[in-house]
Amino acid sequence: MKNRKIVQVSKNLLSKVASILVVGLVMTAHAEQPVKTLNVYTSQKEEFVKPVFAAFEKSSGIKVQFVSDKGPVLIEKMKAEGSRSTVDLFLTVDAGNLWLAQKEGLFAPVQSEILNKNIPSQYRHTGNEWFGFTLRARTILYNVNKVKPSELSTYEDLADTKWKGRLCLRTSKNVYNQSLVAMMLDKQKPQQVETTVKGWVANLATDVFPDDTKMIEAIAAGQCDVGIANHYYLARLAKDNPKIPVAVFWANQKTEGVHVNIFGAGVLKSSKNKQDAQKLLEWFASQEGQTVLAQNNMEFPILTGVKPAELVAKWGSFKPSNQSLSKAGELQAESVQLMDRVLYK
Amino acid sequence: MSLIKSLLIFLFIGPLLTLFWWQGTLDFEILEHIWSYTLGPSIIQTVILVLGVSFICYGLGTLFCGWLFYFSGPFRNFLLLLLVLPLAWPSLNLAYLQRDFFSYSGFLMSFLREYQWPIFSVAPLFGAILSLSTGLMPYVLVAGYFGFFRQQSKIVELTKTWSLESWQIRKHLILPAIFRMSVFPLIAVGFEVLSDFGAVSVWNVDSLSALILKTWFSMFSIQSAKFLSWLILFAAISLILIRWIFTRKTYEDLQFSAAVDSELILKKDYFYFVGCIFFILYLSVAYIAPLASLTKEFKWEFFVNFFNESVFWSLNSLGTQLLLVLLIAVILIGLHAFLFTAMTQRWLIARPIFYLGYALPGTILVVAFLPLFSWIKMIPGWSQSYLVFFFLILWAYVVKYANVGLSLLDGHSKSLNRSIEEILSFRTTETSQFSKWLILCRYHFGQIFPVILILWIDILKELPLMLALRPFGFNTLMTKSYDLISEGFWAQAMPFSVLLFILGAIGVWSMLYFQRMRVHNE
Repeated sequence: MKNRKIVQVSKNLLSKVASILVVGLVMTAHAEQPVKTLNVYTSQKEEFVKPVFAAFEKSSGIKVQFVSDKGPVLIEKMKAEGSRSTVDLFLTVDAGNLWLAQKEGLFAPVQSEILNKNIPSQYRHTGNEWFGFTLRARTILYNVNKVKPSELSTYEDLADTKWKGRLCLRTSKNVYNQSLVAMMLDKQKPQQVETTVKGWVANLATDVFPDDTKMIEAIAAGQCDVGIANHYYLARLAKDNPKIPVAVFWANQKTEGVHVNIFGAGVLKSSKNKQDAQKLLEWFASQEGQTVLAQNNMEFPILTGVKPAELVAKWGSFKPSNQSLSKAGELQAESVQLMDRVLYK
Repeated sequence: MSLIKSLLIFLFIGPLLTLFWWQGTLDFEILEHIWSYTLGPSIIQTVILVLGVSFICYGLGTLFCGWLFYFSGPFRNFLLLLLVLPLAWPSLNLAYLQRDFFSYSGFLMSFLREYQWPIFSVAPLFGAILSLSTGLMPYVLVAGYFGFFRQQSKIVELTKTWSLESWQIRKHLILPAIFRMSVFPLIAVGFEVLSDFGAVSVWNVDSLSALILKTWFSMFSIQSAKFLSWLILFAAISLILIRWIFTRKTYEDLQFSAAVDSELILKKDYFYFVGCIFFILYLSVAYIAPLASLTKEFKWEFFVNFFNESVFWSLNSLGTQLLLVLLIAVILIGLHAFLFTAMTQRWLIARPIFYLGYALPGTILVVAFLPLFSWIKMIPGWSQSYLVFFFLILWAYVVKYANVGLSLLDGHSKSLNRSIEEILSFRTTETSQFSKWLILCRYHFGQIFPVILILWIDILKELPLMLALRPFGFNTLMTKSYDLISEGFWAQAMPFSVLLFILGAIGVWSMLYFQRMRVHNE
C-alpha cells in the first residue's frame, strides 16, 4: 500500500519537474543574444576577470561572455572546435599556455600600433600573436621575525645549506614553479639548475604545499623561514591581515632580475569578430584597462606610468627578468623532467 | 531492439573510442622519462591509496554496521545519518579543509603549539587516504547496513537454532555477511579512488590520475596522457575481476547468512566500546576538522553577499542547475534499468566499458567529448544554445556514472529476474523486452529511487565534466566553489560549499529514508 503511494507521489512529482524542465529549456534555448558579444576562453578565475570585463563592457559597449577552465583543457577544446569555434579570444595567466596555443596554430597575428607601443617586446610574441598585459613576480618571501633581508639574495642561494630545514615550496606540479625552473634553464646549464633544485629539496622544512596561500601561512606561523611565491598571494593575505609577519624580497636583483610571468591573451584564428577582440586587447593595454587590471588582480601593470595597487606599490620597484617569456613554454617539459629527477614532488 | 542496443553501445563506446584513438605520434622521450622516474612511484602510491582507502572503508563500514545495532529507534537513525552525511562533501572541499586543519598553521597544530604540546605532521599519502575514506566509507556502510537489515529474520532463526554466543554470531555470520554485501560498494570505492584528482591534488600525492594530468598539463603531451590512461583501464579490469570472484560467492551465501537481531548482541562488550571510540574518531575527522577550518575563516558578510547580491540566483540559475541534475539522474536510472534488462546480463563484455567511464579521471573523459562538442557546433544556430550543452553534459554523465546505477541494481538481479518471469507467466500475450523494462521499473521503484538520490549527490559534486563542457557564463555551485578554493579564497567559497553540502545532505537523508521504508515494507 505504502509502496503504491510512494510510486504515485513520485510519478506526480516527476511529471511536474519534467514540465518545469521543458519550459526552462525552451526559455534558456531562446535567450536573447546581445548584438555585440565577445566570447572568451580563460584560465584566469571568474573572480578576477568578471569585474575587468564589466569595466570593458561599460567603456566599449561590447559584452564579454566567458568560460574558465585549465589552460591546456581550453587549448584542447579550441583545437577540437577548429574553424567552427565561436571563441574570439584566449586569455591566460601563464606564458607557457600562450606558447602552447601559438604552437598549435590557434592564434592570428594582430597588427596594432597601441599594442606595439605599450607592450615591451619580451612580453609579447615575436609575430604579435599573443601579448602580456600585467606582470606577476615569483619571488622570495620571508618571515620578518626570523630572517633579515641582508641574508637573502637569489633563488640559487636558497639551495645553500644555511637554509636547511628553513625553506618552504609549492608543489612542482604547479605551472608557476615549472616556469621559474624553465627560465633558469634558459640562462644556466642544466647541471647548474639541477644542483639548485636539488639544494631546494634538501632544504625543505616540510612537505611541499598545494598552493601559495597555504605556504605563506606556514611562513607566517614559523614553520619555515623563507619561500618562493607569486607576490599577489601575499598582497591578498596582507589585505585581510596587515600585520602578517611576511615580507617580499625581490630576488636576483644583481643578476638577471626577478622571474616574472604574465596575464596575457591572443586573438583566435577562427574568430568571427577579430575587430572587437583586438579592441579588448587594446583596452587591456590602455591606461584605463591597465588601472582596472592592476587594481583587480594586484599584478604589476606593463604600461609605464600606471601605478600598481597601493599595497603592492609599497613594496617598491624591482628589476624584472628580461628573458623572452616564450622560453617558459618551450622549456616547461624539460623543467618538469628535471624536477622529477631530483624528487621535487 | 537491436537498433536500440546498437545505439546504446555507440553511446558508451563512441566517446571512449575517441579517447583511445590518437592521431600523431607518441612522444617517446616523455614516455621514457615517465617510465624511468615517475611511473613506478605512481603505481605504488595508487595501489597503496586504493588498498588503504578500501581497507579503512571496509573496516569502519563493517564496524559501524554492527555497532549501530546496539541502538534502537530514532537514535539509531540519527547516528546512521551522522555517519553517512560526509558523503555530501566533494572530495576536493573535504580534503582542503582537513589538510588545513592538520597543517602547522591550522586549527589543531596552533592549539597544540599554544599549550606547548607536541605537534605532529600528517604524511601526504596518509592524509589523502584519510580524506578519501571519510567521504567514501558511507557507501560501504549504507550497502552493508541495509543488506544486513534485510536478512535479520533469517539470522534470528539461525542463531536461535544453533544457540550461538554473541562473538560467534559476529565472527561467523555478521562480519562475513557484511563483507560480501560490501563488495559492490568497495569496488565503487576503488573506482572513485582511481579517478580522484581533488583529494590527491590537495595532499600532493603522485597517483596515476595525477601523473596523467601532469603529463598533459605540464609536459603538454596529451598523446602520452591518453596512452597512460590505458593503465587505468587495466586497473579497472582488475577491480572488475575481483568483483566477479566475490559476486559469485555472494549470491550463494546470502541465501542463509546475513545480519542478526539487536536483541542477540545487545551485551555491551568490547565491540561496543571499540565502535564508540571509532565513532568519535570518525566524527572528529569528518565534522570537527572541516568545521574548525570553516569557522577559522568564517565571514558573515560573504554569506550576506551570497544572497543579497543575487549570486545565489545567478548560478544560471540554481533552479536550472538542480533540474539538470535531476534530469540526468532520472535519465541515467531509466537507462540503467533498460541496459540492465536488455543487455548487460546477456552481453557481459559491455560491463568493462561502463566501469571504464567511472574509473577514468573526469578531465581525461572530457577529451573524449571535445570532438563531439565540436561536431554538434556545426549545426546552425546550435553553437550558443543551452540545449547543446544539456545534451552533451547528459551524454558525458551517462558514460561517467553508468556504473553507479548498474552496480547498485546488480545486487538484485537474480531475484528481480525471477519476479519478472513470474509476473509474465500470468500474462497471455507475448511480452516485449520494453514491457519487461517497464515492469522492472514499476516493481523495483523502491530500489531505483535511492539510486537516483546517490546519482543526485554524485552529479552535484562533479567538477571536470561540467567545467569543460558548460556553456558561456554557466556556473554551478561546484565550479564556483572550485574557482575560489583554488585561489585560496576559502572565506568566499564557503557559502557555495555549504549550500552544496546542504543539497547533498538532503539527498543523503532522503536516500536513507527511502531505504528504510523499503526494508520495512519488505
